Amino acid sequence: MISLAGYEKVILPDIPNLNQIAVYEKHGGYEGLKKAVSLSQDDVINEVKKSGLRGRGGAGFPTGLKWSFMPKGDKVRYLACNGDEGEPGTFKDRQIFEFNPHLFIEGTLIACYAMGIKTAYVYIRGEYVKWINILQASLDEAYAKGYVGQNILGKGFNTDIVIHRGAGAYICGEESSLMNSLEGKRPYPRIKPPFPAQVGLWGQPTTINNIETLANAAVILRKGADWYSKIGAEKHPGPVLYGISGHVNKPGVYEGPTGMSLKELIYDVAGGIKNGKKLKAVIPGGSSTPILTPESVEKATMDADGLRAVGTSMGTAGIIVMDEDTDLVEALHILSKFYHHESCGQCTPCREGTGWLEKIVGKFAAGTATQQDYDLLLKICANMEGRTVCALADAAAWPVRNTITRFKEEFEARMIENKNKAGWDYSMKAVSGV
Amino acid sequence: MKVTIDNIEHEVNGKPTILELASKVGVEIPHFCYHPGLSISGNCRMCLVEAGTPKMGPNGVELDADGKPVIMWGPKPTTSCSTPVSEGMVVKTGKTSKVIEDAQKGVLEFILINHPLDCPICDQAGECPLQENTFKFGPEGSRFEFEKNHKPKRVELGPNVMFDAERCINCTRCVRFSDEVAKAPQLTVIQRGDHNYIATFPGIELDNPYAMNVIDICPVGALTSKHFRFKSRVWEMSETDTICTGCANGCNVKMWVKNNEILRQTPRENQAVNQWWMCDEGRLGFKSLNENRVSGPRFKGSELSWEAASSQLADSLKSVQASELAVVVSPFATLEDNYASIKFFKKLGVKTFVRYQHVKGQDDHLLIKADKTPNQAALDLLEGIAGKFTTGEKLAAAIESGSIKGLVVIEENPFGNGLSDSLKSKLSILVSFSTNWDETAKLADLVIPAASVAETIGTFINAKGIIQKVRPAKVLKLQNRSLMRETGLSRWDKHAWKYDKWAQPTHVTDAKPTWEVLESAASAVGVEVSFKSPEQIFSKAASEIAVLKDVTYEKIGTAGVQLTSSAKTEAVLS
Ligand SMILES: Cc1cc2nc3c(=O)[nH]c(=O)nc-3n(C[C@H](O)[C@H](O)[C@H](O)COP(=O)(O)O)c2cc1C
Ligand code: SF4
Repeated sequence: MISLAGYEKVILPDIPNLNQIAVYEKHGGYEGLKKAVSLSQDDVINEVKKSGLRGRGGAGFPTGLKWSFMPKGDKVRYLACNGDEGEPGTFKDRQIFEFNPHLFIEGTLIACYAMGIKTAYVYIRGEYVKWINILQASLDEAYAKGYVGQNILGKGFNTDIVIHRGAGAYICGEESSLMNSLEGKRPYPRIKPPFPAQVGLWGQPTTINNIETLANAAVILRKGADWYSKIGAEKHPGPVLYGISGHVNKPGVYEGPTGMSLKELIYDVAGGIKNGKKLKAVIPGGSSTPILTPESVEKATMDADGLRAVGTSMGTAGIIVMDEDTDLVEALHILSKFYHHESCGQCTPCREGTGWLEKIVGKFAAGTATQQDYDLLLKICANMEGRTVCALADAAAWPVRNTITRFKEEFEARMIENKNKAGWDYSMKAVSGV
Repeated sequence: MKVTIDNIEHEVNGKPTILELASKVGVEIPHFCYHPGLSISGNCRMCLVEAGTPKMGPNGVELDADGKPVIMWGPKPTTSCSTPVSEGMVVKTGKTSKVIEDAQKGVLEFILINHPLDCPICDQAGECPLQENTFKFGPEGSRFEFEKNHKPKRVELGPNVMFDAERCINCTRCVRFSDEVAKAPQLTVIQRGDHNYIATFPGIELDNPYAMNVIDICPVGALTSKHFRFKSRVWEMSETDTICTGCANGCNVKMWVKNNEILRQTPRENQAVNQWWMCDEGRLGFKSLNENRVSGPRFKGSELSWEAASSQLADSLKSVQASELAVVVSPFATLEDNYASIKFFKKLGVKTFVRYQHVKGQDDHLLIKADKTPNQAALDLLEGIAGKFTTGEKLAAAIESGSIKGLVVIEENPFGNGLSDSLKSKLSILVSFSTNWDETAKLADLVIPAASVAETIGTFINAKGIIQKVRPAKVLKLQNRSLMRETGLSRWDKHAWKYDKWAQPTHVTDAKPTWEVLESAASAVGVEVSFKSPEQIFSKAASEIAVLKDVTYEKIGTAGVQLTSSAKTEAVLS
């Protein structure tokens, strides 16, 4: 069983003033970068592949593999560092900016070295003013010390890092939307293919990585892939930042190995449920991941396989804990409102579906819903899932589908008898069903 | 490469997308945001298909028990507009896939939940892809029971385009058109989610020279023409395939007529000439074909019968020496009228043929030509028959000096183009064949109303050397059987109804094609010509002009023929 016992923190170690470059250097800072530039580009990528690191931005894509998709040659290419952090329940990249910004800068430089990138953009959520300032100060230090800019470490390798303040929409965190936003365009996600590694920012090959992912890359180069791959779950290894929020005694961001039991995280790490209440539900990886019942929470471990086994996924490891007093209908209503508000409106099923879902969930909240509304919710979800340009539609549909099926009684309790059924019904044979 | 769509295998060249291939082989895949002239957006999700590719094993394509390739189906439906076909690909559209049939119904249900469904008062009804696709592929009703979103209505996006945000389905065709084709990025999408709609940037109007094309490509009635809105239901009009004569580009158009009045002009696809577009100035140019028309012959201000006009024409022409007579030909008139005029007056002994140029500004990046006349290229060809044309300046000098005493103007306006009014007193006769009451028609002693390009048949040669034909969208008061054959009909024309262009005296001009009037006066002035129909005149001209040798009306059709210097011709479009 994987547990916090004996775990050594590497992403957010308890070292004061780590955002100052001298302190950071004293604790092994920029050693990973030095290691990287002593290797060939391919060797760096292979090291990251070997480590088993998977993206921390939500989709969990293997990072080394993603880096290897970048074409060789001397085409101009870019790295976009995704610090938009818009997913409800997610607040961990912020901690890196505040407490260990150089680790992220170092990881970014390693990624740039490995992929031959001369410019990296850091897209940070616009509201993160405080953290933008901290990062900028650290970046200035790194420039002054010659870690960023021209002829880095005397190796003739040049990379600039540019901080870009986001325009304030959840959708800007979707990687292709982020690229449009960086280009100064309306942040509509792009259709894929072509993938960013072929046609990305300004039409050039581009890799997009989450902030925490890049910070992990620095750890891998400093400590070695072998060391890294032994941390946490075998198939989804490494340190991870768990952001625990909701009805717990000690909400916050906790670093630990992947594969920890969800129970340990809630009851030990986060100090258990507030006021001694019972647990009702947990969203394990940011609002887009399917919700879990207490029975599933018992079994769940925080890694891809462990969460797939209980019908959910790791997402951003933003754990939202809800106690027995939580009105899940209202909770779902708020979430549906969020996705309705944040749909960019580019493609039909999401633009129209998110609003419709919110309206029907609103009927449950108001106590006027019927069995037909329940069935219709599932049918609308089916018409949204997998039919859109980006994954926001799935992210909007899954919470609805999973909350109303996994907590069915709670929704049934809010339904009224369908008295005027003869008036109209959903018998439309023409429309797809579940 | 072989690609299978709905169980039928097709041999494919090049690398089309699934949607391009399907439309080429006649499989209908409904779509809204896709337009062949614009970049791919993939936002409407209407063109979803299931697509799979052969599974590759160590020994190439893996085969199943029946010896057929094993197909790896994609995990979810894909947009056919953005997916290129590949070797051995298998595609299922809504015809053979329940998943896709349901997806199409789902998308249409979604589009319609916030759509006002005001088809009965919407200009687009009858030519609306949303209406048609809903009819063909949509669900049988809606399960939406809430109040629809409200958005701005009757927004003036620019001088010619009106916008209804509630009807907008956010396909972004108009935005992409403005950016990519008009090169005038004036539009964008604002708001988000189901509150999205298009708008111009602050302080900017949708006023680029091609702005009105967004009305044509709008797949719903969100963008309408300020000039046409609420004028007519689509099915009440006749549509005639013809060309725009607003400049030397000769864009292919449809003229839409109700009650013998042109209500709008829309572009017609011709890849060699105008692709799918036309400029706003040309589009709105039809107004002169409806208004301010010369109707009925006049002599010194009094109306005449056509018989009297013919004999007056003969008398006038006989009153001056042919050598003192000048004839102004026209780059605005058909090749046939110009040819007939040159032939007629040559036989009469006239030596001076005058031609005006009308150049304004510069050619732009797309269609608009600096040469504002549609047929200078035909005059270039006719110069071989007429002899070198005289310029407007020389004509003025010759009138001034008294060497020219009579002037016949064929569908031109010299007095509006530099010829001083004061010279009129030096002319003993001024005869004008005129479509509109322009400066020359107003000064002329004898005014013969000429059929306009909207009422006649004839050919025009554009700046690229493509010869094209105008066809009559309107009828004249006196029917000419050779013209009637090609007149565009509406659904209703065929059944006779009250807005029938044949039935109503309103909006009917009493004019004739110039060649017809010339022939009627021929025997009285003693020249021998035989002008029976535009086609007959064209074939006479073609027999005299080398590059037209192999060209016929049939070959010109509605797409035109590219003329080549080697006198060989080829159809521009098959
Ligand atoms: C609607 C939507 C919002 C997203 N928001 C974020 C975000 O705020 N931060 C982030 O890192 N990834 C976000 N993602 C995931 C990114 O698209 C992308 O997968 C990720 O940045 C890749 O980084 P990784 O491979 O390092 O995980 C979002 C995805 C979607 C569909
Ligand atoms: S799925 Fe939603 S958020 Fe994503 S592109 Fe479509 S409308 Fe925009």
